[in-house]
Amino acid sequence: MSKKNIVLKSSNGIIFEVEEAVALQSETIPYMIEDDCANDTIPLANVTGDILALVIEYCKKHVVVADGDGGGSSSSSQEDLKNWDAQFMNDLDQSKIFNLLLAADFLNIKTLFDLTCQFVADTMIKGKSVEEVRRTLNIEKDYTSEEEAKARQENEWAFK
Amino acid sequence: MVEAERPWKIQKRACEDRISSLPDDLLIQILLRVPTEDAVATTFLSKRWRYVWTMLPRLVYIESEQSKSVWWLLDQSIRFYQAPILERLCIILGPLCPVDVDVVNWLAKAVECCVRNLVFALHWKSEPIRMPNTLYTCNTLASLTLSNKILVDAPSPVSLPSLTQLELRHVAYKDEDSQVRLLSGCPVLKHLVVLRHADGDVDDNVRKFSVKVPSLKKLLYSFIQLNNTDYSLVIDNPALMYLHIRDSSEESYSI
Repeated sequence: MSKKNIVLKSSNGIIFEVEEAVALQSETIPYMIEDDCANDTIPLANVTGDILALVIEYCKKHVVVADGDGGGSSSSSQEDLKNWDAQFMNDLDQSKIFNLLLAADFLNIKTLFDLTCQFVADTMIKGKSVEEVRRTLNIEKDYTSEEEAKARQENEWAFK
Repeated sequence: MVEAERPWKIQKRACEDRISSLPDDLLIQILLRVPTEDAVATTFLSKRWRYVWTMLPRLVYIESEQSKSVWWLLDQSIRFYQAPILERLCIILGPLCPVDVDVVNWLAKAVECCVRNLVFALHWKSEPIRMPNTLYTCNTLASLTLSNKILVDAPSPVSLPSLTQLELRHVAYKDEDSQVRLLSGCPVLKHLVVLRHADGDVDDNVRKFSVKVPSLKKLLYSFIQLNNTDYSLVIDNPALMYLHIRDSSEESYSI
């Protein structure tokens, strides 16, 4: 018996056909399947093709582990999966990371959402000074010099 | 010409500020995953970030080797806090906390912000300090832990209608009535932890400790007594399922 496939269409019209179990890691997609009985293709209006490809890559990797591979082999142990997740995030540039975060939020894939938030928190904010965070995230300082000076004076604690 | 433009474009894209355009709820999810100190400091990044941290549902201030002036951060920042519900506030301060800071004000602010879970441990060098009266009539409070240099001076009446878990760890009581009033104001209390100690002349001002809470399911009571004073424990809790008593004194119980 062949497994049921689901067809997803990105905002820029790219089609992805994936196994149902892969797609159903998203808690949003089941509602879209119910609402969309006439057409087999599920349009994802705010996820672009390159980001959807990443989401699917993540979901494929994680669905295998959730299933188990029958033989009880340790080829995809929790440890391996964690390493894979770390590598997966490390390979992305900031623009992709934030698009992935938005996609994980929209598609409601909790583990991917947690992974992305945690990565941003750990690598871009945690333990960094205000200046370092600004540099890392390219945030433009829009306080006037007076405001900045006043803030610094009143709030030395924030400037490590 | 085209070739000259390309690296510039790539560079421009790499320097884009993407995070600031995320909606507030996603920024809050990210800030929940960094220490509160780092989250509060984002207020100075830019105007966009100024008030984001003030909506965080959980705040944790713990004094440590790395965060010696966490009391200062707390003192300076908590007045700006404005989330509709403060899900959890955890404050653990040690001997580095100056004895003249306005601890009462922090707690009053937490109550104003509808705090649900509150842990307040104060190990400073000064005497036990009173909590604001509003803490004893906080409708939203579901879990409360008070530890060390805290004086339980319960007003009349106490009303903590949502409180299901209470831990009183080595706190002092104004008097026995205050201890009784506190527990009598907790109609849905299920879990109670009481840790006490008495050494020489120093105790928590309670000789007879009374636990009469009809809703109570679980009680853990520990008393380390290193003097010769008479102390007693009275327990009257019809719904109790679990009872653990550790008492180094050999005085009377009436259950």
